[in-house]
Amino acid sequence: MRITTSTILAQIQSGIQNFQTNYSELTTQLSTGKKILAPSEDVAGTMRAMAYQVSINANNQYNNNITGATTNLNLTSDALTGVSSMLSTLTNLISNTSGTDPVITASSSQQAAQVRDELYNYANSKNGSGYIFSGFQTNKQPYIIQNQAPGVVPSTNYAYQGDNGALNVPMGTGATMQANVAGNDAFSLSPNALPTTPITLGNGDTAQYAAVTDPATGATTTTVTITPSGGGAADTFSFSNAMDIANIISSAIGSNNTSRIEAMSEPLSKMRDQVNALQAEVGSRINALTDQTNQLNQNTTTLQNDLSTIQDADTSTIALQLTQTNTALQALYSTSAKILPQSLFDFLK
Amino acid sequence: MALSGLFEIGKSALIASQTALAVTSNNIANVNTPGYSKESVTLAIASPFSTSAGPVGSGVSASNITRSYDSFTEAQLLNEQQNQSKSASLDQTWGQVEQVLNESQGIGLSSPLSDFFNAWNDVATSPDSPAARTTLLQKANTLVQTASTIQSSIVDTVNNANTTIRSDVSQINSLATDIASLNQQIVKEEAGSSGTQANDLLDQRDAKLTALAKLVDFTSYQDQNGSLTVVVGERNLVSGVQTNPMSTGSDTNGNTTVILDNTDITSKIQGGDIGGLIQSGNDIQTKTLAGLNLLLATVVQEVNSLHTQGYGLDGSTGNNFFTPLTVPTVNNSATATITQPQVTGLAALTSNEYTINFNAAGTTYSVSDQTGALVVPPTAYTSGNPITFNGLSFTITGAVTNTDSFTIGSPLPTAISSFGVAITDPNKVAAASTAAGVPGDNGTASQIAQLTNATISTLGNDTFSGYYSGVVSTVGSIKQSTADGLTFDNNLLSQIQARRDSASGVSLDEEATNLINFQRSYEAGAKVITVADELVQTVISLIGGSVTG
Repeated sequence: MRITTSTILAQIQSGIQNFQTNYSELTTQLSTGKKILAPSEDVAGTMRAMAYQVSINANNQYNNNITGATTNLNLTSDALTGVSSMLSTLTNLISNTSGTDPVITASSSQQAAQVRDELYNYANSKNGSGYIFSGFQTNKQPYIIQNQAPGVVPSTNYAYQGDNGALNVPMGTGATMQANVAGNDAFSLSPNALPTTPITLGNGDTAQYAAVTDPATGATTTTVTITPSGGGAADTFSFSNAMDIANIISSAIGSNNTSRIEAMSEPLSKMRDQVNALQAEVGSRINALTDQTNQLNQNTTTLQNDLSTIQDADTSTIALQLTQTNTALQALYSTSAKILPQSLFDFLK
Repeated sequence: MALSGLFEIGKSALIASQTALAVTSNNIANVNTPGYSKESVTLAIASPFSTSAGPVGSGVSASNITRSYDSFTEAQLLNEQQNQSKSASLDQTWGQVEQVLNESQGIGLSSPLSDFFNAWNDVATSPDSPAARTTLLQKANTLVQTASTIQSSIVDTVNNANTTIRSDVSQINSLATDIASLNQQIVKEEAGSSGTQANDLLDQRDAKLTALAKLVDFTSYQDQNGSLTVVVGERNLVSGVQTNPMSTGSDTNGNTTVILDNTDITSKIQGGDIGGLIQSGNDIQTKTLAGLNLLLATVVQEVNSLHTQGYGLDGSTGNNFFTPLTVPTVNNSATATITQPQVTGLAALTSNEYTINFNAAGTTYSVSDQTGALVVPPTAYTSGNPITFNGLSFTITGAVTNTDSFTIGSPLPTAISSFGVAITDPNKVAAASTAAGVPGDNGTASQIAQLTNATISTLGNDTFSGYYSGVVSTVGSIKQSTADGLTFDNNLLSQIQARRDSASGVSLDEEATNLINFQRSYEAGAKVITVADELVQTVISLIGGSVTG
């Protein structure tokens, strides 16, 4: 083949161009830490990396959701622990208040009233600005005190303003977890908790419980009818929640109404059971969320490793390639510098 | 033979050597001139004259100057130049699109899309949190802005392609004028001579053809008189000294068209820069923009259809989260108008524009697309009833006749340009699915958050992110193939160029040898004249001696 001046020039130019392109690509890989600089360099790799990234993002978001849900459930659990403890205090008060000493009964009645107020505080617990026990109505105080009709003892009762809304938070693909407990579930006695047949109290009176659930609020109101053994007018009163129970007990202790105190022992005991069961359930939800977080984190770690394998540059290999390219480029420069200025003209004198 | 004959022989050697030196010098001078073909002198023996001893040569003459030219290689070079320019313009254009959707570097829609649905998750987790709602609106606006930036960058690329076509066309016209003018000079130069070629003019014309090949594909053939005809898209661009000016127009989609000899030759152009620009312009619109438009149209439809069912903190319901897709309509009627145009099925939508016509009584209607093809054959029409076809639905209010026509377009091409967040008040974010006034209800927010995992039939049963990664994959694959094509064409072009250089290029070593060679022959010719002069002096001195002696 006949070699001409422009052939040599073109070859050197394209050689330098190729090396410099290589050099620039390697430098960019080194500075960005990524080996795929554009989708076209590895279409399949980019697609996999995108899918992994989407999954990692989703996992991170589910973790955020779980953090929010866990905070809510932890606050709920704390409140329920307090409620359970208050209900135990109330139980102890009943069993320890058997005398007729007015000083003791007054003190016990006052303690029961304090329990009632504590329960009221727990029922109206907040997470930030929202109430945790009002279902979806997080801007409404779940329980308020209202006056009863004149002549009814006690003169006030507690009414639920929330609803049964369940805040189901996404914690995985297609999986949700209820992050709240509605006030009814925590503070209102379940309609089937109490016996439907009359129970006989220690003094021979009978107590009958009748539960009615309000379809609008979901709150269950239990009416207690105490029929005296010796005949006479029956004592009828009702309660809807733990605060009502404490309130009635407080007033019954104050007035030494043993029938009422005894009639309320059963609802109190069932209320405690219900709160304890609920506390266990909330605990298991928190555990499930923790498990899910662990699983998500493990999944994310795997995905991140795979992602790194696909897209991260191997610094040592690139550094080596850079050196190789540089050496070759220097060699080309050096030979070009010798070849280019040379022609027969240099030797003609 | 007289002594004076020696002078003639010496003179012929001087002239021939001088010509050869001139050609050599010209070669050296043009060593770096693109398109220059090395020239060489053909030396011929001058006619001999008779002597008693037989015929004796009368010197040398430079009979011809020829250029080293391989017409096959030159034709290959032109052809490959057209391919390489097309590959280069395809690669450059798709490179620009790829950079806008360079997910390898985190540039594109993937992250804003994830962030948007993540923000819905945050609202689902804390539906009563004003911060989560405000963040959601911010993320939605970021999604809108990113989509709009991506779209405008891609549209800019298409517009640049269209502008470049117009500037290419003006260069083509200038080259055509130059070729026609060179045709004229070549014909004049070569007329009447036998075998003499207008070498430099031919080289100049070849250089113009190479420049033309970078812009557009063409075929050319040479007449017997040396004039070249250049044909682009089956129409003459240059014919002898005549040129047909190429011009540009615009089609219904706003793409630049190329017109030559009053004919639209756009679809016939397959090579050169213009060939690449036309192809990439079309492909970017059908394979990338259409995909992105469909994706965001689907996001709008899916999110809105859930959001309108939900309730805001302020109790409002029926609110669109995103600006609903706009269905463009035109009424050509004095008495009736299209009302309530809406999208009923995204999957059935096309990007066509439809015209609705009626019979004289207004009892049947038919629908045709912009090409005139019948989409809905004449169908019974009851005044005021909705008309539905191909994913669109609308009602015409008022009396219609056969002189009326209505046009309804697709919302898809404008899906991104009309993409926007419809609500600005965080309280109107419909997180709740039950009745109004329940701040803790996350039913709708949760449903919208879960859309991120949902397979959508409009997107071929893919998820949003899956479909989007398909769009990116298409761009990546096309860019990969244009890059491969360009590398192949670059290599092939360099090889053919090397062959052309081998055949026609100037070698300085060769010319240095020639220079010495012809310098020596010039010196030798001069010596002949010196010798002849000395001989004449000798003869003269003989004459002088006899006179004095």
